Formats: sequence, structure tokens, C-alpha cells
Amino acid sequence: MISSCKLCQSVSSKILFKRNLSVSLTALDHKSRLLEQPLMIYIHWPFCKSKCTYCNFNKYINPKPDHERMKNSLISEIKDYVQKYDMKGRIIHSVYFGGGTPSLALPSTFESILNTIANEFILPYNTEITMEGNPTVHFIDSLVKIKKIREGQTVDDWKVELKNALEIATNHISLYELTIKRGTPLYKDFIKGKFKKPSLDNIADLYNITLDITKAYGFQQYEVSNFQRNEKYSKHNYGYWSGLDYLGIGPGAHGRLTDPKNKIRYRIIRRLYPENWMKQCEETGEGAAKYEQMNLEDVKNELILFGLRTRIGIPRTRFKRYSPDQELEEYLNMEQVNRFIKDGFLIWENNTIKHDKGWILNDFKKEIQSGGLRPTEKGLAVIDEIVPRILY
Amino acid sequence: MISRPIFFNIRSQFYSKIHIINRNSSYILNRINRPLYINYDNLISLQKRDQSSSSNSDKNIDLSKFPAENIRNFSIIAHVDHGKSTLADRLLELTGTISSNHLHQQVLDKLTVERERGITVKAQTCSMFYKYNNKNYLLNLIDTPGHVDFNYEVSRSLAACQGTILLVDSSQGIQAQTVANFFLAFNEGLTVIPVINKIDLPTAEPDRVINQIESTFELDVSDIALISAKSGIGVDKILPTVIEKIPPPSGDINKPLKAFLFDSWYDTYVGVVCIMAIVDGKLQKGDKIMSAYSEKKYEVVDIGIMHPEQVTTGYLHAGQVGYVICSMKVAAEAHIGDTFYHIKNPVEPLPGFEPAKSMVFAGVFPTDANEFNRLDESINKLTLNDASVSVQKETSTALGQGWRIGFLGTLHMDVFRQRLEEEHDANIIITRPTVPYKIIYRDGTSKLIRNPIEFPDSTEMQNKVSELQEPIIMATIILPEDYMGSIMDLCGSRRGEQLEYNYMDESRVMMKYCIPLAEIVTNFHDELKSKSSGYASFDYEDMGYQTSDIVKMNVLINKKPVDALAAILHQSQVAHVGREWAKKLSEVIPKQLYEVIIQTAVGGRVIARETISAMRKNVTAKCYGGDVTRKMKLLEKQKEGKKKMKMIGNIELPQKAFYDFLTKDSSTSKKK
Repeated sequence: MISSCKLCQSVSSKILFKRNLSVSLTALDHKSRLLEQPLMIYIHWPFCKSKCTYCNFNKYINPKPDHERMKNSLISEIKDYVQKYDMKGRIIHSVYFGGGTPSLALPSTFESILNTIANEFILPYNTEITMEGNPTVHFIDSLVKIKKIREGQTVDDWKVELKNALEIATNHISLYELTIKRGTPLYKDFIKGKFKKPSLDNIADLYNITLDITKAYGFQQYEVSNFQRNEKYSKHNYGYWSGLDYLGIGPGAHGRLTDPKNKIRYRIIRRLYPENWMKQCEETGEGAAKYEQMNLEDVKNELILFGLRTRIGIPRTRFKRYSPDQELEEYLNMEQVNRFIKDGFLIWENNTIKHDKGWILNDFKKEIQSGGLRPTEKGLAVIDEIVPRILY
Repeated sequence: MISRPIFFNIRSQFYSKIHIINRNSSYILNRINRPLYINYDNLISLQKRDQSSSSNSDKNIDLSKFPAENIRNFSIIAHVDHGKSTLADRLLELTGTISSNHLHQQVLDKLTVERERGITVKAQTCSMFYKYNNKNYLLNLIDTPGHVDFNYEVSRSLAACQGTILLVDSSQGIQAQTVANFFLAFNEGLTVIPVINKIDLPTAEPDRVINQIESTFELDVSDIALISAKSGIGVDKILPTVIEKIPPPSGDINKPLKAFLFDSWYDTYVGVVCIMAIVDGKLQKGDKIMSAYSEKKYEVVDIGIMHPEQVTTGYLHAGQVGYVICSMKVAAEAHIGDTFYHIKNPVEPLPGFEPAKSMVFAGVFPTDANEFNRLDESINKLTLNDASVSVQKETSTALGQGWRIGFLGTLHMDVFRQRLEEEHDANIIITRPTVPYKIIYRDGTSKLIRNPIEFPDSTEMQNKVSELQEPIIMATIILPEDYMGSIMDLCGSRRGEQLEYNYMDESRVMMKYCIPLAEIVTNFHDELKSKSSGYASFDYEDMGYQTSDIVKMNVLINKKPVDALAAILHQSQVAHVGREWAKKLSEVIPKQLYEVIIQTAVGGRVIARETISAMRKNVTAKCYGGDVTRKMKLLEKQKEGKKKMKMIGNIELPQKAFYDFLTKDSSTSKKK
């Protein structure tokens, strides 16, 4: 397996790792006005200096993007949203600058965007603000040895590579099984037969080793590919899995927004191409390509799909929040659920969901009190097999 | 429409027990020619258009001017692609039945439409008017639709003829179907006129083919016609020969009506259209007639000749052949081989045909159980016009509700499947074909079983069964001598016993083998073709049953038998097939959340075992805000796919696994 990892608050090699560096910026202090559900903001910067072989994100190699137009368009989308949905004063759970390579945006762009967010919403002191980045020269040295062993990766190679990464990681690491996506240079090489995919058994071995080694370094897996120690979660990502609404800003960004008036959840996807998106923002204030009501079944399925990727699972309370008509156990095919429980893939909790230290972000502790469904370690590893079978 | 049951057993002399099931050597490979059914719905609608727009009213035909002595009823028989359709076209042109101008174009257009639909073209029965030696003749070309795929079609058309043209390709020479067709005609006592076709091809070897005809059929070849139907060379000599050599029908116009039904199809507008030969008497519009078979009464609402489409004449008399519409509602009412007479004048019915027996049975199941009712309707529609298909409901624990369908042969099965898939948009699984085995009980009774499920269990075997029998056939294989070795090996490996072989000329050999039918229905054609570089042709005839050491092999998945995969096999095949199936299944069944153990077993004895280890990891690596939309789409697909899973215990078998297993390798006894 060729793997890639994301080093939160740390470094990652452009060559070696998927992406990217996240940097916590100082949260801006603000008056607080609590709404029940905090909101997340994702901001997409679509430009890169060069192409990574595995990347199928919405990105463009453009050394000289029009920073001013980009900035104005991003800001206009934020404002448009606030105005349309009457969301002024919502609490912000997290802000995430993704890409592309958002670290290539000008500092003034970040400043303007964050100021806009601070003015329109409430940014509590502990709001997580993340920016993806690519490794710069001074930490590449420490990664050179990892690079050297990467070709034709074996289980032993991965052990060494992972240990090296963990040595330089701080308190959070994301470790992904490399997925060969259509349209990437990597995919083309694969089609040409330049390398082979590892066997299913080999992939399973790598995954198990990853769990063992991270554990030895004091990390706890709290989602399929995310590990933390000292309670340093990725708040933003945790928010996705917990069903928080997120505002997607920028070309190709996705969002999920619940209209406070009618409680209907919307799926919003921005226009893909930066030029088209900017042009639309300049003309109409926002650049949505798709704006659609989600049917209730999709909303529920997303919650289950996301929830069961985390060790804490899907709490009944969270499900009920989006499902006025059904409890979790009424929605799921319990005959199948019970089979998977019997065979050691799932656990049903009637009372507070039992959890190990490091499975759950403090903000979400309330919702696990009325029980729910969670995967076992064995179940989590095959959850893609299980989810379609427990849904009707 | 093609597959109505016909079995001609009336005057067979040459082979006393001939029951020919299927003759189609080269079609199996030549998929372009399929489906082989004429789509009459299509044809009829075009005919309607023709009738309303043009010629019909112009044709005032007085059939009373054609007494039996001025009538010739003949057919053309040939191996596939030897040029039968082209010759028929030329004859229609020559007699002005289809002219070389506007009307001709229309006909050709019509044919093109059908060709586009993959349907083989030719007119069924067609009446032609021809002047010869100052006398007007009514020539009825009684042709089976296009390719002669199923032997009973040939029998049917021959029954209404007094003579036939045996058409042989001058490069390919005599092929297996040529032989089979010749003997059918010969046994009918028909006059056989050999004709050598395609003489203008550079590869033509007419002298060699003439020698073959002489030595194989002992026919007089002194003035044999050498033609090219395509370019028209020599075609003008055909009809004079037909008139001179073939005797006129022997009917008597003054006797009570005796009409012989030998073809029919279903027309959405008028119901069943029958093609009848008037043996004696006369039949006209308004006549009340009765079926000797069903004793049902009908009134003739339209009657006429095919020229080339339906042309009303209001009348047919002894010796003539034409269509009769008499308000039959369903195709089954038109019992092929039936005799019709005037209600008040019953006559001795003609011997008729014995319906063709289904010789290959398979379970047919919807891939999605929700499709059962829709598929049931589709199957009903298809069988409406194809009475040779026998249908029975069947329930499989593995595949759910379905049908056990009997076919005339594997090609018939293939065509049926293709029509279901293409015309009815059906997704189906067809189990491995089974031939009808015979169980002989100690008390002297016997039973045919068409499904491995019916195979007697060990108690029954011990206490009641005296022996088991399987159907056998006689295969006629014609091939260049270079391939004799490999084809003899093939036949040997298929438990074949050589009966005889003859050199037809210096390099072509005709071999006869006695082979169990079960060996023929599993990929035999394909292997024969591949081992002879396509040069061998093949035909077969039923030879009844023989005692056989057969057993039932079960496939078990985690110890549970999968009924749909059970098979009846000869003891000698068990070890090999058992191993092959277990291996093949282990390749088509995807990894599961649980370990899968595949076993093949006869009774309690395990033949082979394969294991698929449990899946340990299947989880998407990345799933964040934008990924979930894609993931949801995938989820919907997975949920759909799950519906198509069949549960065996806690093991899910996707329909695709069944499909791959049952379709991609249909050989039970591939060697080595």
C-alpha cells in the first residue's frame, strides 16, 4: 500500500502525503449568542502550484490567480448566505480553508474572510480554524527518509514510515488507505500497469498494523482514518460526522444547510470552475451550481453513514433531531442490525453509549446519553459492507 | 413464430425412430443471425400497410383456372448460408411475384427492416404464377422462414410438398444439414432436385460437390443445375425442371374438403393466420369448418394466397396452398398437422404431426424477485407464439420463484433468453440445462425428470428404482479429414461411440456417433467448431434412451445445498466437474463478511472443497463534507445490489455470481 497522511498542526511532505498542513489560528473573540446547533464553514481555494498524483480534488494549476476577485467572491458568498437564511449571529463551530492549496492565498484574503465571518457570525474563543498547506523546505528533511522507502511498500516499510510520521506528528494524524481515483495521474499509471494494487488481505494487514502502532504512540482512533491523543480532535471533521450544518464557500464546495424556518435540509454545490464561479458571484452574489432540498431519507442516511464511521457511532438523539417521524431503531432494518450485533460487528446501546477515552469530542457528550448504534473495531473495518445492509 | 412443435414421424423409413430435435450447427457461433424468429407482428404491420396502399385490389386472381395438374408444391432445403433465401428471391422475381420496380423495392425495404432487427428474412409460403410451354402454372414455394433452425420446420414444409430443391454450396459442399434435410425429404417420398449454387465463386468446386451428391445421396446428377442465385446464372432453368420433375398434387376437387394446417402465426389485428394445404375439395370464405384435433368450429372470414403478402382470393381448391383466417384467438388453437373439414362432412384426418418434445430444460428466474410478475407476462407473451416452449412454475430456495422451461435445444433456449432480454427488457438467470432423464421403477413404471430436484434420493434409489436412463442421440458430423483426429477425441471425451464413418470424397468425411444428449447441450457445438477451425458441421437425431450410471451432484455453500446449482451427471464426470465447479464458484462469489466454504458432493461424499476467507476490510478511507454526496450515490447502488442478493444461510450470493457461473462457462465436461 502506498499511503498518505495528513499531519494536523504539523508537517507533511508534498511528495509523500496526501495533503496537508493544518494550522490553528488564534480564534477571534466575540460576544456569544448561543443557537442550538453550531455551524461550520468550509472555504475552498482551488489553486495549486503543481499537481499531486493522487489528487482528484477541484484544483487548478495557476501560478497567478486573481486574488482580489477570489477574495471578493468568497466574501460575497458568505454574506449572501447570511442574508438569505437570516443566520446572522449563528455560532461557528469551525472554519476550514481547504483546497487546492489555501496556503497560497494572500494573508490579507484570510484576514478579510475571517473578519467577515466574525462580523456576521459568532466566533467563540475555541472555534477551530484550519488551513491546509503543503510542506515547505525546512521540514522536508525530516521526511526524506520516509520518501526513500516508499516504492513498492511492504508491511514492514509501512511500519517504519508510520513510525517516522508519528515521531514528528503532534497530537493528531489522519492516515488514509490510498484510494486510486479516476482521472488522477496515479490512476493513469495504475491503468498502464505501472504498479499493482495490494491484495485485500494485504490492505487489511496494513490497516491492523496502523491501529497497533498508533495505539503504541498513545493515539486513539476515533474515526476510520483519524487518530488523536490528548483530546486533540479535528473539530471541523468531527462536525461533519456528527451531522452539523456546513456552509461550503468557493468553487466546487459542498454545503448542508437546514433552513431554520421550515427545518428542511438543503444540499448546495458551488460551480466547479473558478472563472465561472467568480463570474456568477460577481453577478448574483453567490456561485451555486446546485441548490436542492434533500429528502428526509437522504438526510437520515447521511447521518447513519457518517456516524457509523466513528467509534462513538450514531446516537439516537442526533438521529431524532433530523428525523421527526422515526426513532433510529424504527428506521433501521433491525433484523439485519441484530444479525450484525450477534456476529460481533455492531453494538446497540440502550443507555449512554459506552466509549473509551478519546472517542468523543466534549461538545457532543450530551447527545450520547440516550443510546445508539456503534460499530465494533471489527465492524468499523468493514462498515461499507454493513451500512447498505441495515438500511431498507 | 418459428418454434411450433412439429415432429414428423409418419412415414419415416430410413431411420425408424427419427426424432430430430435441433439442427443448427453453425448458428450457435454465428450470433449475427440471431434471433432466428420471424417477428410476425412486425411483418404483419408492414403487410397491412402494403395492403391498404397498393397492389392487393389490383390482383384479381381466379384460382379456379388452376386445377391440380397445373400446380406444383415445392420447397428449397439447404444447409445454412448455402443461398436458399437468395434463390427464393430470384424465383419470386423471375415469376414477377416481386417485380424489379417499385414493389420490389418495398419488399426489399421490408426485408431490410427485418434484417436490422436481426431477423432472418424469407417469405414463408409464397404462390407464384409461371407460364411454361403455353400453360399457366401455380407454383407454391413452401419455404420455412429463412434459416432452417429446427428440424420440425423442415418436416412441416415438406409435408405439404411433392418435391424439393436440394441446394448445395459449390465451395462448401455437403454439410450436416444437407444430409439431414435430404433424408427427411427422401423419407417423405419427395422428388429431390439437386442444385449446385454459388458456381461463380473463385473457390467453387462444382465437380467435387457433384461427386459428393452422387456418392452420398445416389441422386441422378446427369443434368444437375449449376447456378448462382446471387448473380442469376442458371436460375431460369430451375422452374422448368420443377414443373417437369415434380408431380402435381394428387387431390380431388370433387371430394369433401380435407385441409391440412402446416403453419400459423399470430397477428395482432386478425388473430391467428393459418397456412393450409387443400388436399381435397374446396374451401371458401364463409365456410364453416371443424378441426379434427379439437373438434372446434370456425368460420372462414378471409382466405387467399401469399403473393407474396396475403392476397384475398375468397377460395382455395384441391392442390392449392394459402392462408386461412378463421377467428382463432390464440396460437395454440392452430394445431400444426391438424386436418380441417366442412362441419357436415367429416373426413379421415391426415396422420398429422406429433408435437416436438422439449429436450432441454432449465430454470428461469428473475434477477430481482420484484420482477416476477412482469417476467411472467413476458414469458406468456413469448409462448403465445411459440408453443414448443413448455412452461411450469418452479420455486428455488436459492433463486426464488421462477419457471422450469422446456426447449427444443440449446439454441432455442438461447434465442428465448435473448428475446426475453431484448424485447422484454428482462433480467434473468437461467440455470444449467438438464435433459430429461428417465427413472425406471421396479414395478415397471417409469418417470421422466426434468429437474435435478426430482432426482430420487438414496432411499428411493435403493428401494424402488431399478435403473436410470438418459437420452442419447445420433450425431452426424461432416468435416475435412484433417480434423478427424481432434473431433474423434472430442466425441470420445463426450462419451460418444462411433457408429460409422464414410469418405464422401477424397478429403471429406461423414462420421456418425452415438452420444448422450446431455453431452451435446453443454458447449458441444462451440467445441466442435473451435476444434475444426469452423469446418465441421453437425446435426443430430433422437435415438431414445439408454441405461446410464448417473448421479446427482449437489453444490453446498457453508453446508447448505444450493438447489439451483444441483446437476445430474454421469458418474465418470463427477470428479472432474465437481472440482471445476467448486473452483469456478470460488472465483465468482465475492468475499463476504463471513468465511465461505464451497463443496460439491454426491450423496454424502464430498468431491471438492474451496474456501473463501472472510473479508477483513472494506471501508472508504476519506469521507468529509464533499465526499458524502458521492458516497450516498454509491450507497443507493449498493442498496439496489443488495436486493439482487440471494441468501444461502448468512452468505449472500449476488445474482451476478449465479449469472457468471451459469453463463460464462456452460460446459460441464471440458476436458483436461
